[in-house]
Amino acid sequence: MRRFNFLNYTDHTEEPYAVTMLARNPNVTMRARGVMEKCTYCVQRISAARIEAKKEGRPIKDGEVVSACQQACPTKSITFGDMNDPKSEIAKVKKQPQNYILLEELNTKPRTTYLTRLRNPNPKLGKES
Amino acid sequence: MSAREKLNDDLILGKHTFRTINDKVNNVVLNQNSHTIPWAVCFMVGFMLLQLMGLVILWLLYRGIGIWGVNNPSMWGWDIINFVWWIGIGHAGTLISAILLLLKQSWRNSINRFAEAMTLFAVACAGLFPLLHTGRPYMAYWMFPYPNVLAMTPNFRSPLLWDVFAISTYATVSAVFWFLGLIPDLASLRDKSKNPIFKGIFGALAMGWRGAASHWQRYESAYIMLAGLSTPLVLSVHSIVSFDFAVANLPGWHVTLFPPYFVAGAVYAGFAMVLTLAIPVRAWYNMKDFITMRHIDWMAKVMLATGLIVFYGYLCEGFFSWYSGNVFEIDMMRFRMFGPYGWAYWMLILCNGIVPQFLWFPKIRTNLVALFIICQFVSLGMWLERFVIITVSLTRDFLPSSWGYFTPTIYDIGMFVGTVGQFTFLMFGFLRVLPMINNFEMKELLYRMTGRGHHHGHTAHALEPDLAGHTAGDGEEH
Ligand code: SF4
Repeated sequence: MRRFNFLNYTDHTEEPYAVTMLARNPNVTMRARGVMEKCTYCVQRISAARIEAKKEGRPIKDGEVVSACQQACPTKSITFGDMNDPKSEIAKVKKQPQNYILLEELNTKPRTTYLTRLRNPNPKLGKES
Repeated sequence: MSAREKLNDDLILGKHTFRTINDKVNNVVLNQNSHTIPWAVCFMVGFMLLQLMGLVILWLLYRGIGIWGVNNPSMWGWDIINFVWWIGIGHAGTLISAILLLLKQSWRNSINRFAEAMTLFAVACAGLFPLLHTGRPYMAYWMFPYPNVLAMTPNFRSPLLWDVFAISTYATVSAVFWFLGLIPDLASLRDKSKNPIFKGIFGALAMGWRGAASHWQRYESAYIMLAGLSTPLVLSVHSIVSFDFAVANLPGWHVTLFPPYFVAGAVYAGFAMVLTLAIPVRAWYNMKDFITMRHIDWMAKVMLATGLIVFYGYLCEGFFSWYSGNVFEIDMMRFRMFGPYGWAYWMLILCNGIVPQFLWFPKIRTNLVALFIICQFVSLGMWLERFVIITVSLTRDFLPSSWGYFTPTIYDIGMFVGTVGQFTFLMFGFLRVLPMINNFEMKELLYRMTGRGHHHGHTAHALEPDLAGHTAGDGEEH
């Protein structure tokens, strides 16, 4: 998903600008008009974790990087991690049969994939929702 | 005189000598009284629209490009349509100056100068749109791979970056080519002008040209070399512009047909614009002896041929979207024809498919009013072509959740008419300060036409058997 700042939506001329900035996200700069909004997979959090790991001389642990949306999600529906590590949480989730890629046939190989909604196909167990 | 007779006009009409050609071409620049009311009107209107564009750009820099009609599915609106349209228009100039030179087509001589100027001005108009469309034009230098501390390089896999290189190369080569071709004429203006200021300016621009044999020898080889450089550009620039679409994975854009069909469309639109300018200008400045009906006829024929290629492209698009069996492609074609922008598609077919068919008739090709009107249809048609390609595909892609609609705002319109104004302003400014017809090439053509070029073994006569008997002028004053 990407959105473009067609206009100056976060008006930097508005007075308590510093407050707005802190309220939205203190870790990254506010994007002005003319800049693309795009998921960065919380690059600032990845960098922070990488720096910590480097200081301690170890690889980044699985689950150490928590993206902001993952942290905020009340139903814990978002998983984030290293896809190349077969033991990671994300690799396990991606192996599940209900994992799917949106418009996979276009072969754009997106990193973000989805899980289909779990439905109940057995009518004896109640109505499908 | 019947319509057909006019088609056999010579490339230079009337009784002309080297001196009369020289005077006629230089007079437009040196005698400021030769500019009459039509010049003033065009120049003024162009200047006013240019000011309008300045206002739009100021407001745009302040508010952001959201003042245009661009929105979330339809990220590319009129700005990219206009960009492709203007770039296309420039192509005729390069074709005339480079390819026709290499093919030794002597009919290019009288039209190449202002066709090249048109190329430059069209590129200047085109370049504005992507520049502003980046959102932060003041950061535009980020598009070039320069060493920086931001650890930032442009993505070379993106066709938008190829565009940057294609267009900047095109602009540079066209400008150098144009200027090189001007040097002998600038020297002639320097020699003829009485006003010391003009003399100084033309003298500086002529860069010490004395017309020595060594000058001519270097000039000819440099000119041919630049023509060789420009020739691939005629094909490459618009191919790369078409990659902006063809490389994307969007129904209606992801088509291998795009490069050739865009190039043909560019030449088609470009010749329409050359004619749009040539028809009135040759009348206002009485250049009918140099831009004869034969020139006009041949330009109309090029337009007809490229127009047929473009129309064939439309038919192919229709056929292949059906033949692909791909639901998205088939639906895209349906949306184009019968969707919310169906009117644009059918207007396009009318302008680019049906109206140019009138050019089959010599009567229409020699009727300047009819031809002028057809050229306007062609320009409109080529604009609509880009509108259909860009808007329909963007607002009707794979997921209905990301469908939308595009409506232009007054700023879109202001920007477009502004570039039209800029183009007119520059074009008429050019007519006033620089020779619009290639003076020395016309004299060379006259030399060959009067039969003095035989010992060169020049091919002009072989190409133009009817030139051999021409007796106009003997090179001296009558
Ligand atoms: S919060 Fe989520 S959606 Fe936003 S940048 Fe981070 S990972 Fe991407």
